[in-house]
Amino acid sequence: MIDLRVKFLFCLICYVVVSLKSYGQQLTKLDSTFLLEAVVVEARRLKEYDAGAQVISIDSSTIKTFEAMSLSEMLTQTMPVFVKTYNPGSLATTSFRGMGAGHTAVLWNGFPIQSPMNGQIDFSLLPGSIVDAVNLQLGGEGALWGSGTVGGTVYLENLPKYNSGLQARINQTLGSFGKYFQGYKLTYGKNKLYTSLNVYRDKADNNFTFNNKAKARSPEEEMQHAAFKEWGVLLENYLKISDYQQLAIRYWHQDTEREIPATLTEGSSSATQDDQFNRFLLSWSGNLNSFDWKLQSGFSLEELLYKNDASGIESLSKSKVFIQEAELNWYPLDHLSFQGGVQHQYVSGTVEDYEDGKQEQQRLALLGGVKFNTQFFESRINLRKEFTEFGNVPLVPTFGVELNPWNFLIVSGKIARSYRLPTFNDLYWKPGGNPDLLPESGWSKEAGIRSNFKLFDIKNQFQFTVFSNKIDNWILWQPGSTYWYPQNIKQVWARGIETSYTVEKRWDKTSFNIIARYHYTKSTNEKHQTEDDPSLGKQLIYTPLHKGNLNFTYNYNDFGITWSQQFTGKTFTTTDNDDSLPAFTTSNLSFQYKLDKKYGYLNLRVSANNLFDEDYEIIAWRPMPGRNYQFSLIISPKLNF
Amino acid sequence: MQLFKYYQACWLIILSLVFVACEDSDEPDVEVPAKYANGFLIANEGPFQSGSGTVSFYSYDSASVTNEIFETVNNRPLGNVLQSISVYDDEVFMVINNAEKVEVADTETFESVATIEGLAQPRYFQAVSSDKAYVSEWVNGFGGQLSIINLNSYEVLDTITTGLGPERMLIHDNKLYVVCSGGYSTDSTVTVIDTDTDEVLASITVGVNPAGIVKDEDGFIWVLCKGNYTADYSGLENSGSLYKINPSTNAVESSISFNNFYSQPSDLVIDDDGETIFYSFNGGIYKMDTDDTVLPSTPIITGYFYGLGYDPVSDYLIASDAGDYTSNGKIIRYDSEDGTVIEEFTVGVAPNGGFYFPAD
Repeated sequence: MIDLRVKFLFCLICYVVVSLKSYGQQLTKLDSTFLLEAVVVEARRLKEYDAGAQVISIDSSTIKTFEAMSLSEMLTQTMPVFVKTYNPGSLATTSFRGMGAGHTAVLWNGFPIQSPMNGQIDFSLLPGSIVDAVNLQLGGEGALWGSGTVGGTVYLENLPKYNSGLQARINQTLGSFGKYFQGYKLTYGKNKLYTSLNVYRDKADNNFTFNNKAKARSPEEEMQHAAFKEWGVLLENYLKISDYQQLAIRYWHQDTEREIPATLTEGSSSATQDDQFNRFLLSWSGNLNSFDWKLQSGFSLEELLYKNDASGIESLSKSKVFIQEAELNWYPLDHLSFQGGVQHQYVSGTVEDYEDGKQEQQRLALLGGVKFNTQFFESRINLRKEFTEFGNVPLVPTFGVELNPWNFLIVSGKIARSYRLPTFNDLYWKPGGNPDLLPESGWSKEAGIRSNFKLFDIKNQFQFTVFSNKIDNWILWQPGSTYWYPQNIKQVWARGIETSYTVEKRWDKTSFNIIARYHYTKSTNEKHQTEDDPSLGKQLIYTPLHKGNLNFTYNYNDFGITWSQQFTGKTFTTTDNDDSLPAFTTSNLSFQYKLDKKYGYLNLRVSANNLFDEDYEIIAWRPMPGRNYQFSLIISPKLNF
Repeated sequence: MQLFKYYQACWLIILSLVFVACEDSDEPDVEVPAKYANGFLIANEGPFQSGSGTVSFYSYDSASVTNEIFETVNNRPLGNVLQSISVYDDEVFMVINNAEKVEVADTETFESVATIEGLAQPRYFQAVSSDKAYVSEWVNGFGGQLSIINLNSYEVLDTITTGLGPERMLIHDNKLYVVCSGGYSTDSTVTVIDTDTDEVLASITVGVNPAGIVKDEDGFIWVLCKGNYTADYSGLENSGSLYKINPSTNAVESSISFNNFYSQPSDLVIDDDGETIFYSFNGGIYKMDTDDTVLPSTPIITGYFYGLGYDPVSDYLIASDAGDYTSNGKIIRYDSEDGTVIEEFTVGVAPNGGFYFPAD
């Protein structure tokens, strides 16, 4: 009996080893030395300098699934990062690796789009329909991307499709609680030109019912004052000046009007928020001999109007960001490359609560990098030095290394410094704002393994990372005798593990994949603010220890089914960890049918979110909807001529 | 339909029998010791923005604190933000500022009795009789009014316009005195109202931003004015001041300026005898005899506090420490003579100065 088992086990191991070896040969990390070819790659910094970093890509079919939703929903349903959503459609910020809302940088084609006023980005304001590629990079990466890339970075990209002909794409999505999304996209790609016009409109009443636990016997009530309306346009033009040069012009405008619902412990709310922005991006990239370059100029104008009739508040804030950037890469040898860059930023913020009503800043950053790689080894050093008119920003390095000892295994490590400049609100808000604040900064370290192998002819991918990230001079708004004021007093230590397992198999007509991800994040306050501070050593509020998700996709011919499940562990709501919100699990199921014909395709999708009607809150006393449905119809005729 | 009515009647009869039976069987028992009697109440505002206020109870009998008593008894939160607590005729009135309501509960069991709604940024509650009470309200933050409450129906009967940002109230000789802090604006008046006719009798001008009001043993009314900040918050535009008012003439008897353009005084309380007042100022708690004409120069307690109360039963000062406002705060009991620390207790999140103390 035992013998048989041992035999079986032995056979199994042999089989695994053999499969690993044979499969590994194809899976060797693609030699990333860039051979000069007639393809212009824009996001060079992200793709070249990733040794040691933990990058997760959201695949294009998943992005399409969230076309009618926002990035907050896309991240919530597919990634194990914590998305702090106040109410559906309301403010949604992220916590990457146990850090705060201002510690995630979001780059739209390399242009940072987090607000200079509060350093945050609202993921509810980023529609899934405007991006072609989404990459998440966990951990500090200050040397590459500058301020705010402390917990992680989200890269949003738009990509040209030359020679795709004339295409149209119409998306009509209807959902529960008055959801109606319309997307109209017209693209034209021929030889040296690609142009795309994307217009979208979205609305939802969000008048879902919930059990009001703030009232006796928790009566069922309808959500009030939570509607939102949005429209936007994204225009992209790409021109290949020659085989080795590309010019890209992108313009993005969006207008969002939202009602801000009250918490259940408040009475009612009459507050509204209107967000509007215009973003313009011009980039010229190309390569010649052993060089390639990118010059980029970006301009962003944002406006936020907050109104509260009950208290007579009407506050308009405006910000302008103007960034010029130049980047040069040099590949003198097959295994060696260098990078140098310079970035200039002009930022202004206008709101009546600022000293003098308007504040401006100019910043200059220099960056450099070197990369050495062989078939079995890759290493990089990146450096950034930013100069500002206030505070002293430290020299920020990143050291990253990857070893590829066997074909199926990659071992990686990274040490990086990261920082976050004080926001305009921190510096200039009246009262409280303190121009003497220092940048937050700290070191993050991580090590991990990645393994790709085939088992029983099924693709397997396993990844495991441990990390430690310590941030000092964390800016915290402290209550004073009359008003709150920010201080560089907090120190946070976040550490944990991240692991994922992917199984994938493709046959002729059928394919399936399963992705399981789990993150454990302990993020604690390491410095006491008062003598007997009860928050010392305690987990940060709204930062779950456990976060996991499971995604299952099955396709057969033109038919597809997706099942996803997200688990969020208990989150604390008070800094002494005395109060908490319970853990919850939400599940989503969607079916889709795709009809692909010569003259275009048709796509039908039906999805049920929060399938098991879980009663949960992400923020205390802000209910989330129960089971709800969405129905999408996408028509895309090919209009080639 | 007929059948249904018949059933209904049957059930009513059965239920009433049960109740009668219960009452009967309850009668012979020794009186159930009141859970929340013989102690004082602490108002905890609750976590900033999205939380609920809570009430803590300090029991003289067990010398201990019980937290979240309203939530425990009624299985629901009080609401955001608990501003102050007041007691009248065996009923506790908890003023919930953001939720714009007053929760009414039984003093002994803390079971919810009623909810007074239709208020606009309510701050403090003052009962006049068993039928009538006033609630001071900031309206939209830039206004000021008192709502007249019918304590039988728990409904708002009418409103009286006062100075801006009315805060604490005091009744003396059938007259109500309410300090008008200005709310989000500025004011420097005390509005006087006839509690029988609800008419505004006078508006007494005092220092800028009056926030505290107490009555001394001689019947004089003391008003603590906090002063206001300059537009850029670089310092105080008007210093804090202490006013003494003669209620029989509504005239200002005397006033003392703090002559400090950096720190605001706050949290005025008076001892049981009405001979000594206490207030917070510039990182300390000061004690002053009502006969004194100059301000004391040294504090009896040092530290910044979020609220202050005087407990007439123990003759202790109770200071509240709100910490970082997102974790449990504490109350510290001090000897009111010399400021010696007696003991401290952990209470809810952000305990303020909205205490209720029973009379001695």
